[in-house]
Amino acid sequence: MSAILVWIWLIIGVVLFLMAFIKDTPSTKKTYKLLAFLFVITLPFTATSWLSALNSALLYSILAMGLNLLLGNAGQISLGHAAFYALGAYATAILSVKAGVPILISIILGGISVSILAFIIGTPILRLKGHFLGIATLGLHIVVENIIKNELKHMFPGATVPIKYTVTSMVDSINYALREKLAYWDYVSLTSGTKPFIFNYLQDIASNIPAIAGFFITLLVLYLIVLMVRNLLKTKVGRALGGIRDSEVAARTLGVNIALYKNIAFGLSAFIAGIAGGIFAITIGTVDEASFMLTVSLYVLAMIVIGGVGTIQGSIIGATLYQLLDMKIIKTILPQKYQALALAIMGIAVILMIIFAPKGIVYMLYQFKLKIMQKKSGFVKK
Amino acid sequence: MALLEVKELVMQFGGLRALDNVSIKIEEGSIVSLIGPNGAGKSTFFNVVTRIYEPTEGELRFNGHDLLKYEPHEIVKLGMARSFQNLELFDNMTVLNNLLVAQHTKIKPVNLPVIGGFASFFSDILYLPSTKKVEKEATQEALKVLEILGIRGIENLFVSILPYGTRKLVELARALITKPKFLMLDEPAAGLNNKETKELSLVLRKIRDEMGITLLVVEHDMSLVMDISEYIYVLSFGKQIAEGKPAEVQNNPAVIEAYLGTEEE
Repeated sequence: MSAILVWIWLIIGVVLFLMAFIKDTPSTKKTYKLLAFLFVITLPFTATSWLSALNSALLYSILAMGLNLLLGNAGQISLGHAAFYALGAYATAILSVKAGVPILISIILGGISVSILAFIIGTPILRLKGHFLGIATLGLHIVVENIIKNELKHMFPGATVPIKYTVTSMVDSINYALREKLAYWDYVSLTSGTKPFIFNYLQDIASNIPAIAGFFITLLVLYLIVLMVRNLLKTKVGRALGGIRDSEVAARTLGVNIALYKNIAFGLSAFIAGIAGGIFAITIGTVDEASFMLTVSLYVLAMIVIGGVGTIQGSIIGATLYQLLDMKIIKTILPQKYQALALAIMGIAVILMIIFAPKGIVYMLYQFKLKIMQKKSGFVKK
Repeated sequence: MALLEVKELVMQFGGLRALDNVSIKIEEGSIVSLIGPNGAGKSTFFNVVTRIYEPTEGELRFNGHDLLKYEPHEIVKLGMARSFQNLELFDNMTVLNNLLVAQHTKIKPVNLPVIGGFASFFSDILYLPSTKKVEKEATQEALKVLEILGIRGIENLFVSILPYGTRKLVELARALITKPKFLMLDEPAAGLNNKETKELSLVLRKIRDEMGITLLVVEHDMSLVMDISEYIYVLSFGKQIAEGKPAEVQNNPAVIEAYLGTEEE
């Protein structure tokens, strides 16, 4: 029952998104904004079995946005972005557990400290270009991974952040109240023999409350970061980065301090990755090197390529699609004995995307929209 | 006093002397051309003056400043702008954004010493009224320059879809919007047809007369060079072989030889 509800809800979401994308006019904007808001608010309550996939989709959206800022907007590659993600997670966990900083503040401080570190590391390595920069960032990842294995890992026994410092503790009171109510109904039902019809549903929700809270926290942070990146891209810094991407020499003669702005891009991108790491630490609660493997960086890169390099929507669409496909959709569709093929299927999907839509889904949609508009206006290319 | 003064400039790339003892003096308010066959070192000269290349030897003075003390990105603040031989536009951005990048040093939402940069950054992130105001001003400035060059209306198009001639104008607009004292144009007429070249010479005159910008032009199109320039320097294989008024240079045997080769007898 609930599985069907999820599918219906997701299809509604996709249809809504496409409608909003194609019929994007000032008059309909408000309606679609409201609909999108309602959809997102209700999503975790309908899709409880999908929560872990949705949460990780949101988390990866943040991460992808960070890398996309660096790759798509500043034209600098990083193959070791998981390093900043990991350091953000550890910084947040250490700040809240060892230093007693409130959780949300420790996330921000974690992000800032990671960005400062990236700024410093960026000074030498951003002098490299293209493949060489890729190799340098790859090396950075290896270094961080070893630091985690040898030093940081021992700070958290069993690689777990104590529950007290995670999102679970923040929703304790709601959780407690709901469980109490459920227990009461359960008790009443013993005598009367009937349970309220939403009993099962509420029980389902109650067992998922930390994940739902995680969903909303991640969503809020994602929203704030989208605003930040959007504003950044339409003002001075964003344009300077675009200049560096398109022609370093021209940007330089026009007064852009190339080295500084590359560092800024690296720092900002690391900041966003660090924030994502912080959220990971407080929602998932496990911090060990297995969560921040090199493959994470490569997945994020794949997400950006699928979604659309250099666009905010591309990061979110790519990450969401990739995570939902990877964690839920393929696993639901594939029979049990072919589960091992999931990764291969993802790989093929990415290759097909690169062949048929090399600029990503966002550009594909824009072209689709353009075609529709041309048809409507009667202008068709011969 | 000369606006740009280059003394005994040497630029050595390994065993190649791309510039060999070049001395050039450009007076304020003049239109000067730099000509020479391919590989003469004209573009190298531009790159040295805009500090992209570090000269091996020589002295560079611009408007009383020792250019060698400045970083490439600081040159624009001194009032120097340039165009490029092979168009270095920001292709994945709109025309307007190209012109806004050019105002990079001027856009300061928060104008404070020391913390100004940080404060501006946060103003930008939050898109505060201070940012809105400077952005609006910069946009209007950009539209004004497009109006002057007669290409108003293309500001929201991506540069990559524009025809070549228009792109050249956009690059010119991008250089002009920095409000330079001194403008260096690297082959502005390359790829333009006769009519467009004539229009260009009018535009260049207008730039000098109405905006008071000193021009240094590298060009292969001799009709344009002879038409607009007041003084000409000739380079060949990195050496300065002649200089003078257009008529003098035209009849200079060394120049003719450099362009056509010596007559074998």
